[in-house]
Amino acid sequence: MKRSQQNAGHDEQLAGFDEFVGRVESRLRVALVATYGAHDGRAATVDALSWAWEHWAQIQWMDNPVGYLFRVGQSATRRYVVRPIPFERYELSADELLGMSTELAEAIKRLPVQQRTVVMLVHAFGWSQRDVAATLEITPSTVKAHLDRALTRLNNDLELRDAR
Amino acid sequence: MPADLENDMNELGARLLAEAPPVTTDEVLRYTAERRSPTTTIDPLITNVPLTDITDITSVRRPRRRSVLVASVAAASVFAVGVGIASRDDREPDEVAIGATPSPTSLASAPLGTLATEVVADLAWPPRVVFDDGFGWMIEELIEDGQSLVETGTAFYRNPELGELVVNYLRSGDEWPVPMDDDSIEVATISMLGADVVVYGGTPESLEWPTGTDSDGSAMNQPSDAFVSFEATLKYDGHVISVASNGVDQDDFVAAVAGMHPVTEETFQAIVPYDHVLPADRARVVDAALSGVPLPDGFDAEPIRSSVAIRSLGGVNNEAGYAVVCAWVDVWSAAGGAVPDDVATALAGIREWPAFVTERGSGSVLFQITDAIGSGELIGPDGAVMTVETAGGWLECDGYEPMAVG
Repeated sequence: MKRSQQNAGHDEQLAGFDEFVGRVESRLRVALVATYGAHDGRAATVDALSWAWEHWAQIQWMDNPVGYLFRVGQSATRRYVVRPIPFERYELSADELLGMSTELAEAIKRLPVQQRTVVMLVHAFGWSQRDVAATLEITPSTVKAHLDRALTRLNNDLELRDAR
Repeated sequence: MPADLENDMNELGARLLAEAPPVTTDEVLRYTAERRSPTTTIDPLITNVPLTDITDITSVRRPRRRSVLVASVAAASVFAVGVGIASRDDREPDEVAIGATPSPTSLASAPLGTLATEVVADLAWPPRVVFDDGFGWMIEELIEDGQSLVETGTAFYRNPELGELVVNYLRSGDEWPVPMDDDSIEVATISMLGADVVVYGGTPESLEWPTGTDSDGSAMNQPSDAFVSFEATLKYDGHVISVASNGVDQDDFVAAVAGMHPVTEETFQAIVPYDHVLPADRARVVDAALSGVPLPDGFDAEPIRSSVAIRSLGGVNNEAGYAVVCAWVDVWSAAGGAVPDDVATALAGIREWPAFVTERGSGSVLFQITDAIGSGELIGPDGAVMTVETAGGWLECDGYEPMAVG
């Protein structure tokens, strides 16, 4: 194969990937930010999309690439021994929540990760429960359950603090 | 949600996104190029992973950093995986009641997830599936082959930090067409997994890092793969148990395999997720799920009420709800021809049934089918005219040829 043909193939792949990034990036980033906060969530987005580019042949045909890459953003990155990005999984940095009511920030930080993800996506980012279910690859009833529990905990936490 | 909390949440979302600007393709490409360089240190490990001898495996009792325990039971016909979860003794009496909010213990707050379980106490039992499809454990894909000759199950554990651990099992009865001797088990196992796997527990012993292609012919464990996986297969008292992983450190995986051990039925019931319904709670949960639901004449809920299957609350709800739906489909089938009025009327109100009320806003196939039946517009999800046979197939009712979804 001539180099010009190779370049043309690469350019075509790159164009496809660029379109893909434009299509999925926002949803993926929001989902990961909801889970890990602004800094780590964005870093996970970069990491997951990088993984997508390296596995472009597989990813481009997936039915739910956002859901898959969300999982990649959660778990695949730890395979890299030397990582340029420090991940503080499960921990939302207090700095990322500064400016908000301390009570709310603290209460959200204490939520189990799946409850936090769901309640953030629904109530902070305005996603429908159906969209959350599709992206996280869980059933709508599970989303509802996580949401109910998260809101119960948040309300309880905030009421307890208000009562003090 | 209180308005002030809603406002704070909205503001929080806006602030977070302001601090997490969009990622561009150029940034991804730069990051990929920069990341490749340091990963040269791990690439050789991926292509030439040191195998761990089984003698080393058995000496490992705990992972280095985390407490993972994988347990399986064959003698008691119970498989369980997990550690560090809250005891069921902590459950409040109504925790599994429909609409109740269980105390948020165990699953998420456990040091490292909880468990994956499947109970197969007797081949005469119906399939029982524990399915927790959140971020923790879930069990899925229980398959009966023929007349309950073979039962298989998959315990799937996903932990954002640890990665994925999948425990497959295959249980056969006396009618199993292939004698369960060592050789046939190894053949069956290799066929099942499509990879070089190993049986140990009285048979050849080692831990493999499979490469090459999987059963679908797809390349696996290639040097560029971010997900690398281990697989180990064990035979134990007529069961074949395979443990596979994605994104799990070798040490963790080895420790998990080494930690597999039999547990009793009592232990198993003590470590299933708190939001799963134990046999003792089943009748009450099923009764609640069927409360106010129009039932066809002769409908018998007792098999569901008295089942010993351990499933999630949602799973039991679905089990009860679908039983009623399918019973109405049977009424239609018995009537032949057009949908009887009582069937249409009953299914038209399905969104109010306790079993499905939380999913009333979804566009599930279930609602597509029941809406079609209820409205008399008999068009299936595939756009084709729906008959009672295809309706039963879409709903996966017993006695109907399943319809392909998607």
